[in-house]
Amino acid sequence: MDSYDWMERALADPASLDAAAGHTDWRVRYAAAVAMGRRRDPVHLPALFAMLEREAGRPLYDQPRATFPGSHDDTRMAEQILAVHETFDREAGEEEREAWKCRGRVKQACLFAIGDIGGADAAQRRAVEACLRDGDDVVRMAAARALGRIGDGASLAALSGLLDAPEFCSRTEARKSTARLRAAAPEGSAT
Amino acid sequence: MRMGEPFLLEDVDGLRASLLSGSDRRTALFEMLRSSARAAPQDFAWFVPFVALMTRDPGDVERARNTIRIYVAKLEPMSFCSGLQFHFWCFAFPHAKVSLYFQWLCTIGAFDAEEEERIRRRLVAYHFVNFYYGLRTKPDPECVDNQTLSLALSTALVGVLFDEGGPGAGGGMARIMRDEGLARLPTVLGHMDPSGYSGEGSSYMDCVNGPAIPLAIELLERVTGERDLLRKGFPPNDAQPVKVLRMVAREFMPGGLLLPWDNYGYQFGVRSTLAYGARKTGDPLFSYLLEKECIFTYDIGIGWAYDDLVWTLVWWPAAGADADCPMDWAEPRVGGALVSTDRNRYCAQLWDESTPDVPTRAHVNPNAVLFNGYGTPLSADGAPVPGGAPRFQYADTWRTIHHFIGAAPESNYGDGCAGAHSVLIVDGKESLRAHSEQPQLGAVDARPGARTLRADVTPLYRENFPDVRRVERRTALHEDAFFTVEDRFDAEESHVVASRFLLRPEWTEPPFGVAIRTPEGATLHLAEVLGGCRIHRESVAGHPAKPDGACRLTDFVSEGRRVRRLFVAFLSRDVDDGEALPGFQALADPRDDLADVRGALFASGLRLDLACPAYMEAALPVSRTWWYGRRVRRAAGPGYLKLPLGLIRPALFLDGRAIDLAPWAASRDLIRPVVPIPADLASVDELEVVLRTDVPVSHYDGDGDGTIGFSGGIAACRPLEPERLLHAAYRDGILEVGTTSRTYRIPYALMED
Repeated sequence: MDSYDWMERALADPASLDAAAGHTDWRVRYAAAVAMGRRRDPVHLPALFAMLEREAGRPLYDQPRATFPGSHDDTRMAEQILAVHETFDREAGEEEREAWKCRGRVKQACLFAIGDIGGADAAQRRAVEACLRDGDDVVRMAAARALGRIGDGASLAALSGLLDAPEFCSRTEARKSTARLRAAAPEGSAT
Repeated sequence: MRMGEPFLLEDVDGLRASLLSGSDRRTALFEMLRSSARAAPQDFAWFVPFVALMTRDPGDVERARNTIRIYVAKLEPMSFCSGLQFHFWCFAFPHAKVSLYFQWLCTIGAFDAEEEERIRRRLVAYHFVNFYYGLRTKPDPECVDNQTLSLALSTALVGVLFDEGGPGAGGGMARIMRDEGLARLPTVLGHMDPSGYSGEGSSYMDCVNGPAIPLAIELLERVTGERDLLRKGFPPNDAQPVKVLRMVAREFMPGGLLLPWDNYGYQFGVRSTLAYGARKTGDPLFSYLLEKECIFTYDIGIGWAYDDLVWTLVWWPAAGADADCPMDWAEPRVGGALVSTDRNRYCAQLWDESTPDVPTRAHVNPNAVLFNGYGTPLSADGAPVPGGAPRFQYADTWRTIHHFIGAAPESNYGDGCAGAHSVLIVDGKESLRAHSEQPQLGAVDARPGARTLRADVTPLYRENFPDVRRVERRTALHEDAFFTVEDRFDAEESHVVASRFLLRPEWTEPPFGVAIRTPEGATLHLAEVLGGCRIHRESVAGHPAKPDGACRLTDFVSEGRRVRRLFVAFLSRDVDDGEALPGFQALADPRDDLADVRGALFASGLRLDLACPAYMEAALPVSRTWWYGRRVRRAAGPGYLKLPLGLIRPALFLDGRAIDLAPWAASRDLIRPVVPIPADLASVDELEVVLRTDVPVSHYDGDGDGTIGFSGGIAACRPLEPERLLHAAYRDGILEVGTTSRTYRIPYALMED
């Protein structure tokens, strides 16, 4: 079964999710995380945090700038229907190159799922808060979004660092989640 | 995957018949696309699938198969591209287009079953992990812009194309993308500003939002079964998608250039949006612009795909153009334009809100005025030359940008702030901009029918100067002949207040006020009639990059707590429209020297009018360098040659003498060069005119900024005695303006205190 079939199976068959969550291809793990979020079943939380931990150990943001002879390393490539190939200033193995393509995708999907499932415990909330300091705006945004659903009073301090972030999406989700947590806080609590 | 008919082209047989057997402009345009696609399929790849669908010619179909294969092979290396990782919406939209073209080709059996399945799986999975992911990065519903629209539309489209039905039938990824894309798309449409203007400037309105609307409407109508969604008010803003199309049309100025409303400056407009608007609404403005103002040799990406001409053909309206269509407009939260009946005098006043802190695309232009005379821009606005223009780089407008993996360069966004626009500058605060989400606009009185636009922009200025009480500007067009621009400033404390106008070169020296004459012979004379201000003039190098690589900054300055100014803006010209010169002998030859080609050129049996590159006009090779020559009889005396728009690496020879075209190097992509005939040749009554020009031979020659194949032909022009402003005065409520043609006495009440 190739990765495409695994992805489709993860989205269709809950019994395949644990295996998909541990698959070697990050695309399959991504699909598994999306599927878990759609099911909203807390039984998947351990697998999601396990995937997050696995991502933390991957060289997701280590890619050096690529060059593309005959093309461009920017949005001009989007407009081209041309053969392209990438070159880097150093050698990289297959796992490393796959990590570069992945960047924060699996993390985002896990954080979305964690937020949509809800019911995280304190240690899990702290793990999500740590993602607010991720090197990728996409991950920070997803973590901020999740905390609006699973966070507690302590999460407000973590979110405060993004309230005036220059990047719109993470700033917006941080502000939304902050408002949501404050609205949900018991009267008289320190928020 | 949806099979049966090509999606969105259900009447493909009717379309095919009209394109293959007609004899109108639409047919000619299709022939241009077909010629390009057959002659150079890899260079004009975005035309190839549509041509194949129309002709079903085996050669065209094979070229289309290869186009899809090349795209699919590109996907993995593209994953390493900084553009994909940081600007994924730019890749999502073209990915959806290629997916759509793939579906079209499958309906004519272009692929065998195994390859069809392999490509389908690749397209679906790639969109899921890159662009469905991208859509989820955009906060819902707060993100409403060209990026989110592209992501929502593309995700919905790919999902709809490849969804294969219920559980067990496959299509999980496609079903998710279908459902979430279709849920998000109406939300984005409904959160758009009711004016139709997204605040992102002309480029993203024209190249992304506008072209996205027809596809969004056609997709939603097919999926929901609803009709006339173009005019539906989508909640919560009751935003009608037709307003987006209408605002795209309003961005056009006489002459075909769009308002320089952002950091891209002046540019031409796309056509497919206008075609759809004309087809679906019958509004004459769309037809008029499509027929009279569009450049059809302009090849620019719409949604980052060079298929604007494809969709123009698909949406082409049935009705012809209304020759007499007003171009005045106004939107309460955006701005407006006043245009003389003959379209020779144009003034826009813009007051749309800018993005707080970093005005990237949504520039700071509180009551900015932009003039256009005789189809020629008179005002300067846009982006600086590469590397920036130091004049508009301020100490407090530096930022770090994250556009590339492994690099975070600094850039200065000062050119997006007030100082680089024709607005009021207070106490020299050129980096003035908003710093919060509070409203930037007060009361507006915009009545284009009454030829008046007025807006109060006090809130923006008060945020920066708390004692400011009133900042207003009113623009009016009087008797179709001249404009007034009235400024009003009130504050608790005294301030230095400058009414700034950024103008195109070059100064002339009128007896009063300030005046410029553009290289094309259009003139603007500004005279302040209430008195009490001094004039500061400054030549600025490097801004804007186009059309001149420079501008002439003019400040009318005074100091006080209460400032009132009334400007008369008189537009004129000193070169006529000219007489077209058709029938040039033409030769494709890569050599650079006239001596090498002259014999072959004047032996050529090919005669063309320089309306467009030869390969677009006839079944000719896609050659890069072309020579054109003929002898021109003319009455002796001073004159000009108006050359085609969009010349590339041009050379002009008159009676064998090379004419220096360097003065038009920056402007010739936007404005037809008007080249004076040297004085010693002006007395001859027959001239040999030879023009060499390159033409684009690929979508990509413009390095991402699109290309223009030359258009417009060559014309012989004569000097005109311009109508000049002789005097302007305001006394006892009467504005008296005297020109060389007539004197106007107009009752004019200043804005009330």
